[in-house]
Amino acid sequence: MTDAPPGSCPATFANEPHVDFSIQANRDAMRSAIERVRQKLGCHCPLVINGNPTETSNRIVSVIPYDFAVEVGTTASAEAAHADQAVEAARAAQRDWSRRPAAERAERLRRLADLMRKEFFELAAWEVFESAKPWREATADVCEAIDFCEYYAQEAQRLASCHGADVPGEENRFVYLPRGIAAVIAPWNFPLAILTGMTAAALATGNAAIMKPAEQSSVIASHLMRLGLEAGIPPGVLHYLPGRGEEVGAALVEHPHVHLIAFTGSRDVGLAIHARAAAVSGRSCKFVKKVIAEMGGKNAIVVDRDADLDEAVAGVVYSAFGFQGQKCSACSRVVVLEDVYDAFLHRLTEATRSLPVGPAEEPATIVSAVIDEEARNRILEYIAIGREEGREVLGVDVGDFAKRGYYVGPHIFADISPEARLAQEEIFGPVLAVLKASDLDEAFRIVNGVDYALTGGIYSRSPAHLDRARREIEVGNLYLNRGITGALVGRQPFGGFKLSGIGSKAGGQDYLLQYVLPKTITENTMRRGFAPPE
Amino acid sequence: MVAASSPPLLPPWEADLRPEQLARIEEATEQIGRELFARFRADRARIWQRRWWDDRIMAWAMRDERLKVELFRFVDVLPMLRSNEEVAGHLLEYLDRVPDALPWWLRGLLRASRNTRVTRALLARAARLASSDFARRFIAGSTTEQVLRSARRARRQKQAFTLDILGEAVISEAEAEAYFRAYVDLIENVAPTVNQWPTVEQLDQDVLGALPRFNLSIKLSALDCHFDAIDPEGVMQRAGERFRQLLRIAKEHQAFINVDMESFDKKDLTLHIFKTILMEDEFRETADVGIVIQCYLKSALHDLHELALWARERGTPVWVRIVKGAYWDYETVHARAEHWPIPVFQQKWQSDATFERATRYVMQHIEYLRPALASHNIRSIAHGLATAQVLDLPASGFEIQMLYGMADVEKRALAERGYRVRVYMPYGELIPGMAYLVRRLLENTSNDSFLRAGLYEQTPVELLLRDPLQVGKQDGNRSRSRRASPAPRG
Repeated sequence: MTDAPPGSCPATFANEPHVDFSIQANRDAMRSAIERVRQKLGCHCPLVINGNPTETSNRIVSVIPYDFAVEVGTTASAEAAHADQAVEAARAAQRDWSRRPAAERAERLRRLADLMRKEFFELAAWEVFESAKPWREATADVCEAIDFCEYYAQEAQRLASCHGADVPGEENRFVYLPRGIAAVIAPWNFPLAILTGMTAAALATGNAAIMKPAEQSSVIASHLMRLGLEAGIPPGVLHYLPGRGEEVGAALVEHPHVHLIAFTGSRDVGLAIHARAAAVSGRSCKFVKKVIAEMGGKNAIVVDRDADLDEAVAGVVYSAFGFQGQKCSACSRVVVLEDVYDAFLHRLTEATRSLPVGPAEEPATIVSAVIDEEARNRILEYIAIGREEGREVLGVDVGDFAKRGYYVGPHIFADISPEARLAQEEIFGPVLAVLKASDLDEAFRIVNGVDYALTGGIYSRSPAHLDRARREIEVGNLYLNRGITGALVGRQPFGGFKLSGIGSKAGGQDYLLQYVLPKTITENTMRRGFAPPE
Repeated sequence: MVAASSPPLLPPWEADLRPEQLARIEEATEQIGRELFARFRADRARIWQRRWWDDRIMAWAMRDERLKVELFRFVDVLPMLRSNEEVAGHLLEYLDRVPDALPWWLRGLLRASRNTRVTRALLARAARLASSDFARRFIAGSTTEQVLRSARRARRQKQAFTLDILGEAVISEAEAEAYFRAYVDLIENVAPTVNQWPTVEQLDQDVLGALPRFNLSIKLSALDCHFDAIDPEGVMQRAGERFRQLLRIAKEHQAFINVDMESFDKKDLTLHIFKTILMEDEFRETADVGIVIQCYLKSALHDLHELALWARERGTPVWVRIVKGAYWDYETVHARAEHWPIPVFQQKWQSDATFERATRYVMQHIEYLRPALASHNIRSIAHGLATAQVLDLPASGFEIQMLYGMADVEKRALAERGYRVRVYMPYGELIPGMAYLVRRLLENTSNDSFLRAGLYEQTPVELLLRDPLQVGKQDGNRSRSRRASPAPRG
């Protein structure tokens, strides 16, 4: 079943090219965008309901994670009543939106992509400040947001094309209807891309979308709202409701007229949404709420005894510590075969020790601050646990940086047992557990022995071992001989199973099917023995 | 100030030699090329020589692209394998993927050896022997002592050398420091010995005076574990400081330092560091340094022009190693995967023509740039010799560089004719040497390889000596729809 199909399947979708920072013009563009955005820090973003800016009594303050004395900006904080207003407006507008041709909706999304291209470096600069994303990560996130618009526009048009199975005298058509209103509850770690992806999927298929961005990245989200309206998305079908999850998030999940909840975030919240949506289905609303949830991971990379260590070390370091390890796809365990354990661990430790730590706005930075104080405290707790459970081979001291920002230096713990908390629980920070395996069987047992199944990988040069990995590693995204982060829209549809997610893959061909209701229409075209020609 | 008072230094695409000069160069190129070919074909490998067997094996491996890929993958992983079981296992796994590419006798042999421990061990031994044989052919030794023996042997054959330390990718500060130390040790410990060796007039003198005998090729990316163009200032601080120290030590020991080029993403940064530091007061008069221009790059002539302007302002010339470039596959694949503009020419003749244009340009401006022609392509070399002849450049005013283990016949022939031939000698342990070895194997077996065409396939001399611009015109006329031919090499 998991046999890799032979032959080649060339990519059909052209991704937005990543920024080549070896070109000076690109470096200059990024630097000047950062300076321009610095002038705009301290802005305020009201809610946007039905196109109208709406103030609230409470506000959310967003600060620069690596320099927390500085405010990125504030946003209004939506409450349950605002969710009601947005849903009302969406109900009124969604019907018309759903009846527009798919090509027209697609065209609006392509326009949105173009607007993002125009403001490309500024959008990335906002991410540098609000999410502490280093340059390459920040620009890659904007690329991905553009990709989602283009890809779902293309896919929605494919879904809207003719599907059927006619026979003489009978026309069978298969059409996809929008579900209605989607609540999009997005995370802060890919603040533009994931929010845009879930929103674009809803809009492309004719749904209305109510965006509830993460509190930590609500300022960036306001730019998506602004660009969406500018691209010609009707005000009634796109709303911006920053706020606390427990309040406006919960209100949206339970709302009797919200049909679909698209969520990306933690496992606990994902499961709670799933349970809540199930509990109200059939009670306050006369349909079963659809939940799409992308949750956590405890991703592992196996280093085989014949691995190219240059490549394996670089791949593991970047997968584990890029963006401070705050990706759901990040590597948090590396399972190393006995024969190469010491050699690998030594080079891994030295390479990680050499990672530049600093403010995300500095081009050299690879590890910056984590998102907020809560995250820092949680990660520090895990570091304390790691010291109990294993051998701390590296703990980078961030020195004075910690006084200004939520920094945690990269940490590596060796000789961790597969059952240890460090090897089982998602940490979402720059902490890597190293485990030893005596053979491939044991390595795969360790890899699969967790609650999650999101990403995973192996460095090996044995075709037979790679084939085994294809069959035996249980993850949604498996990477052979490369890092395990950075999935591209269309090229590596992304998402996992077990407790890593409900639903199918973002940026893949099956994704939009979750936002629609399939309907079969059969017409008898025979009248008194007369049928139209085929 | 200098720039303002001196005549304009036109870029290569605006000013070439005069048409009658070009005609004379073309004529002389053909004549020199024919003479060289006649000399090589007399010196062809014989069945009792190792070279003959190497050539046969490579010819066999390149018959089938899929087989080539599997064999190279095997060679690549081999040094990491510890037991005979693992070696045999990998070899069989790789070859099993291309069963129809193997001749019947080999299929039979493999089937037979698959089953018992003893036969698998024999298979493993044979594989190890064959591949270390190839490694020895292209890698001049694993220790400093060994490479010195190779260097000495080369000098006895009237061939100079440049050393290159093969190392793992530098991914930590500790590794960058270790690489730097290795360079320093090499200069401090070996240069004095080499400087005691007897003088070889043909190698150690040029028009301007004595040339360092000890010549080291370095990679700036080995001096910094984050040699990343996203942060030129930071790299400048780290790698730049180490480069300065190497220059100081080299000066002290009369050693020559050549800065090698790697992939395109490092090119501008490498040039930037090279130019910045060598313009500093302390190094402004350092003449024993060189840099590389890769002619498969679309930016090659532009960079060359910039380099000439810079060198004129500096007032002391630098050596320029003109090459075609060894990362063609990587650059093409990487750029296509990223949807970036492809930085390398997609037609081999374009790289060849650029090489020739660059050769003429450097030879026209030897007061700023000193030519080192690095190619195994006889046409490219003959064109260089012809240009020197037409411009009245003495043989010592430029040099020809070739890789260790490749085109040995050419090297001998050129050295006999009195030219300064410098052999690029990589040395080091096998595991870190693999990337280099695989590049060499690819180069020797590429469809567009000059060596392959000239030595294994007996392509007629007229075809091999064609002017690349004519090749381009004919290709263009023949068919515009044909897919771009890959890999300009050799």
